[in-house]
Amino acid sequence: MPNTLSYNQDRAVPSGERFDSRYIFIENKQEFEPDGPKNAPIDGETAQTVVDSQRDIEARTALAKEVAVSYTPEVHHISEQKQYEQSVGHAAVRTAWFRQEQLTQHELELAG
Amino acid sequence: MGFWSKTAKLITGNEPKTRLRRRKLTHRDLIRLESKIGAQLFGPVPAGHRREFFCLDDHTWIWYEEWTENGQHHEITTRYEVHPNGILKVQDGQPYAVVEGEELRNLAHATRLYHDRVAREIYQRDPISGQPLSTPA
Repeated sequence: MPNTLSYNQDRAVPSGERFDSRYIFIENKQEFEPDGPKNAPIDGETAQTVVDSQRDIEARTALAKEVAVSYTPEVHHISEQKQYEQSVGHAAVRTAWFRQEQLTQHELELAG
Repeated sequence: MGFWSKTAKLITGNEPKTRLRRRKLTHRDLIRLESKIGAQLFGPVPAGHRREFFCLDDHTWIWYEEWTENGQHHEITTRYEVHPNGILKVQDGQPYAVVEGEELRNLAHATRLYHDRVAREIYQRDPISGQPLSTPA
């Protein structure tokens, strides 16, 4: 997974499918009512749907983790780059200030 | 140490100020002094090479390298410009490029060292506080 990949929740869903918030309920072991009331009997087809959904969730979770892992170093990388850039700029500003102070002081000494 | 320098040290107890104070200084004089330090920051300069590295102003760093190879004279001037969105690298005949990765790290370390050494060795100032260094009695 390239570390330039930016995180996007949609990327955690296999291509061709849209993210379905109902899966979150399964993942969190909360109520799941895909097709009916909470206590409705679940026929074989519905059960298979739930199992498939669970597999999808696991696949999505794994993919999301993979994306998250690749995302974290990028955040760090950007932050580090910014720090180096600021350091280069800071050194230039400070050095220019030292130089100008030296010239000003020198002028004063010559004048005095 | 000359007569006047020795006398000054006897009177003040301090090493005399450098030649910086003896004549009218220019911006270019100071850059030339700084560049002598800057050229040392990247390791030894190869025989036959001339290197300059200095802070041009409050947002520009210059790297200059000159050498002769197989009877041919070469010189490269690289300008690093500090912009709000990053450091831009400019070389003769090359498009602008954003500095990143190892080159940025090296540049950051070099400019930090440059700043610290120039502050102490040329301007006799503390690199962090900016205050004049106190001379030991």
